Amino acid sequence: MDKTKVTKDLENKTLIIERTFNAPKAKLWNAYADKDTFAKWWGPEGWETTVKEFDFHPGGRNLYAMKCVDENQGEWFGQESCGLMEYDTITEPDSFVYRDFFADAEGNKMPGMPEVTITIEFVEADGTTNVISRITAETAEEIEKLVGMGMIEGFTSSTDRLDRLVAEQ
Amino acid sequence: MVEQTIQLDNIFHSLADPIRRDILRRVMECELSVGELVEKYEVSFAAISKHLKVLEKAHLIKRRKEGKKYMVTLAPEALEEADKYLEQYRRMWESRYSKLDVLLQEGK
Repeated sequence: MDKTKVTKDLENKTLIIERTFNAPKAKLWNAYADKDTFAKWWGPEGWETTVKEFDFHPGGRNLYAMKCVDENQGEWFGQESCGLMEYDTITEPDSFVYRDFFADAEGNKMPGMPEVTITIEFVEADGTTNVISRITAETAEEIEKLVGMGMIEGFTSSTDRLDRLVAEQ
Repeated sequence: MVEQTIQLDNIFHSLADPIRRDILRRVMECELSVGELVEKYEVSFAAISKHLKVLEKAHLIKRRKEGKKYMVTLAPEALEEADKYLEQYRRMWESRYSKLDVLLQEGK
């Protein structure tokens, strides 16, 4: 079932991701704010998440690693990719804002990768909750880059692969 | 795959410039002549011509000759290409959210 909607708004340098869940918003909030719950779903299918640091407070950070454990994903299998979130504003239970970075395993930000600000908003109606993620970058180019590299955010190996592919020319 | 990567690189480069994005937006709506495009911006004919070359190289636009004029239109495959990446990105999120969905149902 394709329930997730992605809209590209290049004018505002923003990507909007929307998904409605059949659950009250307190539960959705918990899925982001609770370390163990977050680790259970953040990695896409075939990817396992290990949370190394987790402090869901303004100024706090979340350092996580995602590892591909699915042999069917070809060259991704066995690869690890780290992400860093720096929480900015937290307005429980409605929304929170964080900065998102590609990081190395120690949590150092990777240079040259898109840096984005993400606002997550929870809107409840009739027992369902719409989760709206607004991903804003400095430039429209970075948004394109994010989508293009995209597939999986935090795929730190993408640039290495790109370099290799270009070198093979 | 290599072709795709280079193509994607060209697309990023093309979209990095606000004038080029604006040209794309205009030709997406209707076919325009090079002369009509030049009139819309406060830059030289040569500059617009250069922008069009970049867009053409990225296969985002098509040019055809009509009498003495060159007509510019959006290349339909350009959008397909862009949509493909957006679709992969969307699928990644769908995959992530499906897991969350299952988790939420279990917790009831």
